[in-house]
Amino acid sequence: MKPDEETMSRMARASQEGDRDAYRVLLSTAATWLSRYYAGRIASGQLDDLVQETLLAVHQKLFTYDCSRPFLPWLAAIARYRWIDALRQTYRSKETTIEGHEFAQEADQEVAAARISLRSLFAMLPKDQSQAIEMVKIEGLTIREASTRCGRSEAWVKVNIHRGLKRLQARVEKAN
Amino acid sequence: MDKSTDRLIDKLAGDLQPTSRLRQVRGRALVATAMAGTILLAFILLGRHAGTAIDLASAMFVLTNGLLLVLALVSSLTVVSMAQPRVGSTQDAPKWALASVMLLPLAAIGAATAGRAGAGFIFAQRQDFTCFVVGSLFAFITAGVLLYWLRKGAPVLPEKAGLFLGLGAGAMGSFANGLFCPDHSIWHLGIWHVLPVVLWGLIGRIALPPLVRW
Repeated sequence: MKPDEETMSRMARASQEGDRDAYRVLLSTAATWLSRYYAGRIASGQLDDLVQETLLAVHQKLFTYDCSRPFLPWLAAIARYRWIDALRQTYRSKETTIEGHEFAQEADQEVAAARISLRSLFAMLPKDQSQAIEMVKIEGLTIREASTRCGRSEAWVKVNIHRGLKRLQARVEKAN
Repeated sequence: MDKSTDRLIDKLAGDLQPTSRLRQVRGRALVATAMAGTILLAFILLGRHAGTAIDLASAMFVLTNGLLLVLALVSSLTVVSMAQPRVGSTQDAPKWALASVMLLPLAAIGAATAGRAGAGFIFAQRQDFTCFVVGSLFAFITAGVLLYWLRKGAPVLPEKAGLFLGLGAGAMGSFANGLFCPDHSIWHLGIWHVLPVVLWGLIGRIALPPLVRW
């Protein structure tokens, strides 16, 4: 099912009232949306884990969704929060390829989705910080490998990751 | 979507129970109750025994307590809304309210430098410390309520939420104490009634984020 705002809001409302069928559809749609949302912004081997963790967070905090407001900005805020958590916890990953770009591009065509996309959040970072995070937390390079690739010291890489994650955390609810 | 995600969705859907929504109006009511409780406590502990009364004729009294009340309200209501995350929401109001409150110490220092703050201003008096300690202690009521609300909700900006919680609680504590404080000098109000806000802001920013992460 293609995620659209109105249907998802309606299903979320029904889910809060205990409608299991609506909830199953809501979670499936959310899982599809999240897979697109995270594509290219997390090591591909971790994508399913992150989607599942976010679904668990949605389940745990469903009662905080305010039905008078759109659903996707609520879901996106939780998705960003979990994503930054995952970046913090990621150390070396054997997967270095990033798949799913076509999928992400398709999703980015929607203006509303673009406002809350991870791409726009990432674009707010200074280049050094986004580069360091991309290399170590998304591509899965070690600090040493990242330092060799960009020709900077290991301390430079660590400092930029730390600052970048801090900056991302502070902008979790920013739209643009 | 992989099979384990499908299985997870089935399990979560099977576990679903009707939930009562987190309503901001309930959060606001809790904040109002905490504020009323703090003022009542201040009246019982300070107002009745000290025999001091709310003095609307004093400009410094009105100005200081008015600014503290605005900061307390704005910060507390922002914290209430932060329990329900949403991309696109902004929380800038407490920063402006804090900037207004910070004019008070600036005015106090300016007056002191110009020699208009009264003799002996630089040495802390017993009343100064009392107001700082009592104002800080009164803050616990609002802080407790806001912490409960944040832990119940889903804040996605723990550091900011902690900071605003601290500012709101500190301002409320100092406001309640300030209502019954007999010293209306610019130095006393501008420094010693603002210090609880600074202290609680630091506590909120440093100590509270781990408590509201989920």
